[in-house]
Amino acid sequence: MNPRRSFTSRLAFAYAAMVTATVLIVLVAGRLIVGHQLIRGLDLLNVAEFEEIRTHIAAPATPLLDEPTLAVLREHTTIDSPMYFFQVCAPNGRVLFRSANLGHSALPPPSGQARHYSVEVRPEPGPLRVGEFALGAVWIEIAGSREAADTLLSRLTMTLLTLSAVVALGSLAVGYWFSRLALQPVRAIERTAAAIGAANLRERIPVPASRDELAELARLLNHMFDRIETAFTQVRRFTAEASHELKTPLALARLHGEKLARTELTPAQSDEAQALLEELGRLQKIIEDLLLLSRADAGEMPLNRRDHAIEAFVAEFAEDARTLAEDRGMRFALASNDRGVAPFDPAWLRRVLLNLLSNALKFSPPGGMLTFASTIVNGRWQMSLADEGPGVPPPELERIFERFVQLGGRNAEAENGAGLGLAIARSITELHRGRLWAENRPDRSGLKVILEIPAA
Amino acid sequence: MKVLIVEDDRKVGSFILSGLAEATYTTRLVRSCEAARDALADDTFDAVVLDLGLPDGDGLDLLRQWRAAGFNEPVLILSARDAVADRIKGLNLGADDYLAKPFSFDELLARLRSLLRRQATVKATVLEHRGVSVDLLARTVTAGGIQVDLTNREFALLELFLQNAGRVLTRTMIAERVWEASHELETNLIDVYVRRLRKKLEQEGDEPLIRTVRGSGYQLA
Repeated sequence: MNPRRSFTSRLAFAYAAMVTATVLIVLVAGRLIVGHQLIRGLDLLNVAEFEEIRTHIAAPATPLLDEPTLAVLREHTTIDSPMYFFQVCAPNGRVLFRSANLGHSALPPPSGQARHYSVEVRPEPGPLRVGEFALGAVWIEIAGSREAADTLLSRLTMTLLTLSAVVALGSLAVGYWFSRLALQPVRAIERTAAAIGAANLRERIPVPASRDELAELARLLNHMFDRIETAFTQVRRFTAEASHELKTPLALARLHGEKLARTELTPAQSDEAQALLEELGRLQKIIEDLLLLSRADAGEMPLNRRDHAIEAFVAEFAEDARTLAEDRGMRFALASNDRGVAPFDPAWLRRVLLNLLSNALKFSPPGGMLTFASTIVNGRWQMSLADEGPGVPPPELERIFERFVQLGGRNAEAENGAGLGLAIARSITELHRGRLWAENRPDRSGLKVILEIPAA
Repeated sequence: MKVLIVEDDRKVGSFILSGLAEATYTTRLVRSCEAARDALADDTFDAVVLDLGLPDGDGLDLLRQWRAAGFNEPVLILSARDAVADRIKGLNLGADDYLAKPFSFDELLARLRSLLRRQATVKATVLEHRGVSVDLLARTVTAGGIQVDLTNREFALLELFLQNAGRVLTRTMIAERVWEASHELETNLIDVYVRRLRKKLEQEGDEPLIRTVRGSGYQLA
């Protein structure tokens, strides 16, 4: 998933979560209030029923019911049997009267606290709301069915859940649409910025007419592109001028040096002249390497990337690598050479491999084995070169690819380079849209440098 | 042999002029496109050494005009510009060789000689020199009548030496023709291959077959 899309969906999710949570809180609160009110309504009905009964019977002075009172109760409870269940108890819980509609079931004995509570009486009559009322020395318990209220509440809950789900989905859709809409100008900026490369640095992002954050962002980016364009132009001009201004005097110095070396000289003078020419050669190489790096930085490298068979390329390199290694008293093994095709510039990639090889040769002990492998894994062409040298301390693993960074090599010519070989190797690799990195070997001491570029 | 040198830098120009004169070439030095056009109009030359960055124009434009006008003599480009991009462009426009500045005079001389003699290159399929025989079709090599096994690189190197028997081949020339790139110069690969070739072909006590020319390169003796 690309970063922009994930930002859009993150925004949509956040929006949907917020809306859904708000709606859910409101609905749950409503549901609680409605539930509470319904129960309170049942309680009030129970109280009203008690008030009515109280007008019909006198408060007993003892926890007993006389026959007239029982008759009144029986008559009253029969009339109200569709709505209420009755039970009269002594304070110790002994049942003095029970309405006929309770059948064999009983209400819980009175608690003595005149409370209202919910209870489930099985098998009949089911969920009840019970009120306890003291009348003289007896407790009257009046219960109304909670069934209607419960049904109402569960329907309400179902409705609320459905509503929440609809709101969640709806707000997700709205949020996605909204965040896409909101990010549209950002995407326009992104597209333009991505299209601006070394080749068309003159292009700019169109600044929206509005005076908002987006217009400011576009302006800031354009300022940045102005500065980059200036820097690029300067690099190009410097490269062109440095080529000429440095190379011509260097050419003359070399020509004169060679002429001098050809004249009749004492052995000491001849050595001096040769040393001079060698130093001029080094200077020339450093200048060329630096120009190459600055050109690569500016995206101005003339790379000719075309599809080539990798097997033949690797085989050729391996032959030369083996020759060079054996000349230095080391061994070279081609561990694997996969078949495949990849877009690359053979001359430049060869230079990368030769740079890696010289590096490995510098740090390998006499008789050491250099192992090269070329494999295709998941559409990427990976080449690795492992030596048997001392390896590199982990904090330095990345630093060795920096410019002018040199590690103390075992062999004499380690002093000779300018520390640009690996930097150039990395630059060329990156121009191939690849990666170049180093690891210490897990199996033994030694450095493994890995080069990975996309295969065709 | 008459060589036209087109080079705007006075010092480099006169150095090449005197160097080529010492090597018994007849030379003429001009410093601008204008003067180069005039020189080619009123004289004939066997070869041209052409600098690209000239005060009144680009050497590549000059080359294009010459080739279009039917001037077929070898042209060697000498330039301080980027070797890879301009080399390809120059060679496509009809240059015969390309040398990047700073260069060594021996290199220039070796390349010029090679260009001037190119017309005489042998097109034989069997090359022979001092008992070494190479069959280019069968890809077999014999030295003193005995078959020698060579790797591809060694074979290509030997073929190059035999095609240019007696001429000095600089390391850069060898790299360009055997490896088709000049990055091998970063290593001593060429010296190693020459050494291996010598070991396989030379008999002990013989005059060396491949001679080292100090400071410049190698020569098939």
